[in-house]
Amino acid sequence: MNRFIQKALCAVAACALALSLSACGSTSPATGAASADVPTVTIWGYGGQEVREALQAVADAHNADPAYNTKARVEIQFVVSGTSEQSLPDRLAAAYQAGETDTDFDIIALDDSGISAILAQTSEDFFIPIDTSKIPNYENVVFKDNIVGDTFIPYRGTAVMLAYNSETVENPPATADELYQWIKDNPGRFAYCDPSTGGSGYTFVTTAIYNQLPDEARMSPDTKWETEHTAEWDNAFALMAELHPYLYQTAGKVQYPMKNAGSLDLLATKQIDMTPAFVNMVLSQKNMGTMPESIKLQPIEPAFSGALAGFCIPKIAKDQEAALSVIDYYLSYEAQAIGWNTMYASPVVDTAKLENLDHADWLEETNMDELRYFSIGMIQKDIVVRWTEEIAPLAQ
Amino acid sequence: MANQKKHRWLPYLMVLPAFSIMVLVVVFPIVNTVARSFRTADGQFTLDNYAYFFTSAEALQSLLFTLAEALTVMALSVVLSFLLALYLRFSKSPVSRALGKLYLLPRFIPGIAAVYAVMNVIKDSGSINRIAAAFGVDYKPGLLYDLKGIILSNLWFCIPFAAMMMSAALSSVNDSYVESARDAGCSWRDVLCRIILPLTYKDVIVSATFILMGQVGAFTIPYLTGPNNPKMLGILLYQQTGTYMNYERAAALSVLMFLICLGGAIVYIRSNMKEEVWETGK
Repeated sequence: MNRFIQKALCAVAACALALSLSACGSTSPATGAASADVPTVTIWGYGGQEVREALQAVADAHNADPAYNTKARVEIQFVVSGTSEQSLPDRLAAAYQAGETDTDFDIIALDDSGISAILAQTSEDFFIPIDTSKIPNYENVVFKDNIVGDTFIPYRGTAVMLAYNSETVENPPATADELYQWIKDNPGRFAYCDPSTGGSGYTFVTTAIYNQLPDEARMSPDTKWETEHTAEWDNAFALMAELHPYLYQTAGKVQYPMKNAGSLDLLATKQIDMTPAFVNMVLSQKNMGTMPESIKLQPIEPAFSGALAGFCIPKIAKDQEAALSVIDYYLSYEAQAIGWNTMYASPVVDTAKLENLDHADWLEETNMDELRYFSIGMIQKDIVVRWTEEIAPLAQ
Repeated sequence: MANQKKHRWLPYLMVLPAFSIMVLVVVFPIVNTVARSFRTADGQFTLDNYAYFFTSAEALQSLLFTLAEALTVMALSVVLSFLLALYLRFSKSPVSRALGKLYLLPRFIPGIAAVYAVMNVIKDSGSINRIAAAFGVDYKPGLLYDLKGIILSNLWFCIPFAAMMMSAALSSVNDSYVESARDAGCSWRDVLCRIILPLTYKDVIVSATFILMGQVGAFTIPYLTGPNNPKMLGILLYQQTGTYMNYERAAALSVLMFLICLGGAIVYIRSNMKEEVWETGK
């Protein structure tokens, strides 16, 4: 019996060996040929499904464009939020700490607010400076002044505006103060999501602080804007506490919805009349018919914080030249129009030059020329922590 | 005999793959987490990570909330699935046959889709509200973003799981035992207490401990359907990393949650090891 097992094991081992050898034999020439011709550039992203679709749509167009597909072939790897997969920042940290240098993390597509968390887990120079002279279409970008550092190339803007139900709200607030007054005048009809779970709630809290600070503060990660301006911070959190009882309630108490989608759901089902919301999320849902036509977007003064989503190249990337060509394509007018048409991504280029747009009127309504750009580094963590400690406990 | 001696390594070789995976993905991370929970961010020894949770009112509230949720879900799903399994085992009607197939369905539906489906029913503007509206009543159930919402959504997952385990246990109850007991004049209550329960109670305990342990670490359902406060321990843990980025404190909380689950695990192991008098054959 034992001899039989021994023989069987040998046979299995031999088969496995033979299989693995033959597998090597058959695949290596193929991959060798592909990499000799056109390098594959992998863009890694994380976030909502719509971001994945937009990145993929542009990638497909890139791979079909003869001017670009000879220089690189784009592949998208995406970690959709809400799945139990390991997050992209964790994967990057793991690869970095394992000392890998030749990875397929060629380009990281992320919101600029996500950069500091990745740097905190890796090193300050984890993302390499990008030579914009090798990206001809970088000339097209209109938000150059907004960009902090040379490691980040924006390809899409994200803006938060006030989304409201035009059936019940005839004159939406136009300023932040009018909005705070409106919330008090209409108890239970406004909600903002838990800032630790969604950017729309986060920006509502953040602008309450930064509306009192000098304008330069919003572009500075310097913690003096926190430590030397405690009065403004205290005011803002006192305001949040003051607004608290006037917010949306369910099961007999105030509830901060989870994630941006949570507050939008309340708006779509008309349980509230107004909420801060990402422009592209509202437009996409209107386009799909899951958001009623009566929901409109209103910019307020001073504006909610905007942000940019863009590309970074980690120093552990394998082919940085090819990556620049791919980034160049994402900044072309053609790619920017695809971005709008797939996810209503706010373009980072002159919108007048975009062609074949769906719902061009929506783009006009949500004009991004005056993006109020925020880049405050780790201060954003302090805002969320303080909200979690001071405001969240009120909801019980 | 000599042959057997020569191949003494064979059993070890056979368990090696499973054992090494266990060490790599279970034992090593646990050891690592325990070690980290006693350290500061710069690697110094500290007990502060634990002190934080033992002195924080929020953590205590979370613990009580989690226990309330877990015990309720456990009790309800055990009782409901035992009744369901009994019905499926002893009824031969077409309804029971159809139910027998249907109840497995939730096991094959992705969790996140199911949570949103349940939310669409129970939320204040959901199906319940709409059906009531058709009768001219504006009824807001107030179930979502509340303990009740978490319990309801979890029952959706736990009942099929527990019913499946109990159905398997009930299949060991031979029809002939029940028939002979009935012939000897046993009431249905006696059949339940003297035949069915002694044959199945181990599986009932096993499914109860599985459910309890699952609830202590639950994340997705309470995250989406629970209130802002109090939070379940899984959310509190997520907050330690996601909001505070304090990995050492998160490690300490993980260890504490692990200890809570250990209680369940001990019950599970003890009930599995215990041999009944009739099983030992004495």
